[in-house]
Amino acid sequence: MRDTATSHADRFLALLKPIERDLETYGRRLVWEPQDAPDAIQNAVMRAFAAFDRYHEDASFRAWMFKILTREAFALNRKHARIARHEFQLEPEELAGLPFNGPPDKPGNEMRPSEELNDTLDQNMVAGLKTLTETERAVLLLRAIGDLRYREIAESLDIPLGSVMGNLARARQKMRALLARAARRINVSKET
Amino acid sequence: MKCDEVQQLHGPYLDSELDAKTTLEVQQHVATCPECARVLTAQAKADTRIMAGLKLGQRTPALWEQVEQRVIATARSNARPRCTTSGSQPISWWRELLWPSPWAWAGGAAAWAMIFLVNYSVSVSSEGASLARSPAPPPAAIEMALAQRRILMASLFDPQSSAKANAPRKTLPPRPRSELKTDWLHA
Repeated sequence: MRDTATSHADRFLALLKPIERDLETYGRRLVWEPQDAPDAIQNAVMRAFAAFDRYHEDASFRAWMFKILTREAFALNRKHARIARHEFQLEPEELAGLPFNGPPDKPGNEMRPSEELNDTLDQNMVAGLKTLTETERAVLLLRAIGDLRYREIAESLDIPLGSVMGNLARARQKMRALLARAARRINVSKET
Repeated sequence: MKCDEVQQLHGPYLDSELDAKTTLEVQQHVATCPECARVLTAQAKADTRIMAGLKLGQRTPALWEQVEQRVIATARSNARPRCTTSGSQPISWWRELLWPSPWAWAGGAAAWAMIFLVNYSVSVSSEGASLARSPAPPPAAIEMALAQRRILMASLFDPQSSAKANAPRKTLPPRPRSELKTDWLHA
């Protein structure tokens, strides 16, 4: 019996291993509070393992795990819903008031070019995600990080396929506008 | 297909979510419309940057080590029979202690059945024994019982004797009030 249980866990962990990085990135970007991300991930994994008996081989493990993590993150976000509404949800115009996320110019703060670029891009992404609604954010992240098909996103979030397309289009529109604004600000700072 | 229709389908087109027919229509339109081709290229470039930016992230080894250890520990604890509620909720130790396995329930039921059977058999045997132990009735009592039975049978088959038997009894006159017991009033 012990061998069966251990092989059950081994099978689960073998499926989990290749998607751990993507799951973590998704979890960290989806939760409102950064410190909630480890809890969301751990809860999601334990919940998935408890329900692993009901998982069918023909279903996508990746989509299944992302769905469970989405629910965990939403549940944690609901705890901070009131704060989130006032503190985290920004209008795109409000981003102009945020500190500039360009490369550091102080001596001693230099990073290697790729790290620097990634850091800048990441900060812009985090800022951009704050302009999205919860559904827009989840749809965009499930597509970008989860690599899920529209149908899988609809199933994960229990929304119609048309809503997936609508939310994704709006989310991309907002993110594109943000990137364009950030690019303009970088150009202005270079000129000055 | 018109320009605004095509521009609405840019996202699904870039995500390869359109069916073959619509994909071909978008491709044909873009091939003949420089403005739509320019918008589509710009959009594709921006979306690639956004997707790449969102994907940036690292795996935290400590977190995943902890998660994997928890999974293995849960699997080991599940190896011995234990109670579950919904299958996904952890169970407190006291609940597990008070919630025996199905075999324990079956054993309990068997014990109760045994107790019932033993009680039943003892009560039946004691009834028989008490009848056997009781002394035989005297001959006069047997004769009286037989006589009563004969009267009963006669009343059933002989209406005259039954009418005699059913005749109203002579009622006694009511006693005077002074003879009635009233001591209970003072009790």
